[in-house]
Amino acid sequence: MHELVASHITFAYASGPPILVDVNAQVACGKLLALVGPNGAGKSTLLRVMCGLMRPQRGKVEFDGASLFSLSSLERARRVAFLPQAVNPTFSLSVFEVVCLGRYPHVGALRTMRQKDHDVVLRCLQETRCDALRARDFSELSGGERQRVLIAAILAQEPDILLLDEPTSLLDLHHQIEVFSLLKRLTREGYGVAVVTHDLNTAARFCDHMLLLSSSVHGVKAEGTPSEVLQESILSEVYETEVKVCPHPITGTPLVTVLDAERYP
Amino acid sequence: MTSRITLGRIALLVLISAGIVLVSLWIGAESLRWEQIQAEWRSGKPITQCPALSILINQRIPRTLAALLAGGTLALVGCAFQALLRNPLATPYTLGVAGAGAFGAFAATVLMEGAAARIGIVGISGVQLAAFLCALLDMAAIYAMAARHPRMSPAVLLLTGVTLGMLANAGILFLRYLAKPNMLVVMDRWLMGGVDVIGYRDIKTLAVGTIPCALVLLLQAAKLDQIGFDVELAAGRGINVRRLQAVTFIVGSLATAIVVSTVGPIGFVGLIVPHSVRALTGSRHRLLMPISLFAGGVFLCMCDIIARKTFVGETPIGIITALFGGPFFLYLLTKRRFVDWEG
Ligand SMILES: Nc1ncnc2c1ncn2[C@@H]1O[C@H](COP(=O)(O)OP(=O)(O)OP(=O)(O)O)[C@@H](O)[C@H]1O
Ligand SMILES: [Mg+2]
Repeated sequence: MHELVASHITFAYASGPPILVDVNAQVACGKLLALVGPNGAGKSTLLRVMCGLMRPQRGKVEFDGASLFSLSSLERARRVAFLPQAVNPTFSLSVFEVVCLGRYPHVGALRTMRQKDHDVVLRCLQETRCDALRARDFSELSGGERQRVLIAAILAQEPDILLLDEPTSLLDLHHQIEVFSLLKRLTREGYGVAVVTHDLNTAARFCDHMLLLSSSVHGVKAEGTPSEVLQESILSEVYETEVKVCPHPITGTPLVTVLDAERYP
Repeated sequence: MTSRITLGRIALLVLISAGIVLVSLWIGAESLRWEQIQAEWRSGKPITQCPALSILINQRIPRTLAALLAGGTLALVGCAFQALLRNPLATPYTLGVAGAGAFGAFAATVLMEGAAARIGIVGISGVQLAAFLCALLDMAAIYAMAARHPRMSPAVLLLTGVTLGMLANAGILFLRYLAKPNMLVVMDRWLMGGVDVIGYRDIKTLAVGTIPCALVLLLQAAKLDQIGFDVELAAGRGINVRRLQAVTFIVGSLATAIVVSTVGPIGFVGLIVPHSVRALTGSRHRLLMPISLFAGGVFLCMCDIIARKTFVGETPIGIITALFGGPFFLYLLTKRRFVDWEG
């Protein structure tokens, strides 16, 4: 049972104001964590700190009790994988090649792919239902297909923990649900997943735990199960709009809607 | 994907290349005959009394080697810089190294009025030395600019390089204006580049300078795949992006500076060759870089053969690479899609 724990994180970009102050977060295997909050709340920043891309000024990030920064960068990448908010490739690569790139932490700079690496790549393509795409040019895929391929690529790192920054922001309803179902399935298989999203309702349906970040407190405004976090008073304050929450008629999870105050006072 | 088709094509490329290199040894202002070479070789006379053998050994072989080394290096650095700057249209000269080198060569020529070509240390002429130093200066300026930014941003590198290149060009124009008419011919000849006046001393400089650089760049292939795909993703996979950018930039510029100072600013090789090879091998640098290195050398060799055999006698090779490379590149542009222009 692996876990990635960030405790008392304080972070500011070079000579900028503090973005995160004394933030705690935890991603455990078998659990799906959602990071939500308004634009600029520091969600991406927290994710980058948690995967060891940036050192916090204060606080520590630990994987199974050992500091993430005590691991070599390749060891780190074999435990924690990170999918950034936007990925823009320079050259055209096939889907298969894109997923092969994910093997880097295992293959290294000088070795070539072995049979085992190939097997992993094929398994990750299957897992994300991308087999049919394997010969396609990555840049010619639709947004949803790209996202699935990118998830396959970070699965190829064979990490324990996945940190994904807005993997569904460009996707239609169907593909959003598909990606979240995939993430849910992965947590059942034993991965620990943290996902940044602006889609509160889908997050409420799928995630086990939720962190609501806000720039007003430089960190976590509310934390808990989706129904504990998604409350009218909290959301109205953080998003600075009138927010209504009612139970979803079918799933019973919180359903968040925004009413404009002029027409529905 | 290394499919069998690609391997077949690679085998074909190797055969054609071997042919081109052989032709390059044989063809020139004076075509050599195999029987004559054999006869002279068997006669055991000193080489000064064997006209054909001496042309082969003192002209054709060094000239061919120079084309192979210079062309290969330029193509390899082209691959590396395209990934580093995340721009498929980057070249070894994008960062202004060629312009700065030419300015150095011009300055030395004007200031020392031809004496610079003769004086020199350890077999490197004053003009070469000045070209090399100015190219290094260009690199240092760009590096200092880029290092001020938290991440060595491709956009900053690119803009600084292009600006320095324009400055160098203005300097060159100014020097041309100052120069005496008889110097202009020498200077312009330098700008067009050439592998025709190469002797073994220059080959040694080229080889000692470029081969280690090429090895270092080849070792970065897997990492260049990663930053070419996405910088943040690469960092997440455990690549030290800043170090990779610094190594690629410094070693690539050094290799370019060495080439420019020995054979002049020969254009287009670093752009056309990586693109054409990419169409053959795909974008994985493990395959792309070694094959570009090889193909770049052979391409320049071929251009040199054409340069020797044009109807006006010897044509400067820089003109040939541009005349043949330009249209070919335009053709490629219509055929191939570019994923991301801005990077
Ligand atoms: N590289 C950077 N340098 C300086 N400041 C930055 C940098 N990246 C982000 N910031 C600032 O840090 C704050 C938090 O940014 P962050 O990207 O973490 O927000 P976010 O919650 O991911 O927002 P979004 O929902 O828009 O993606 C913002 O005010 C932003 O301007
Ligand atoms: Mg973000």
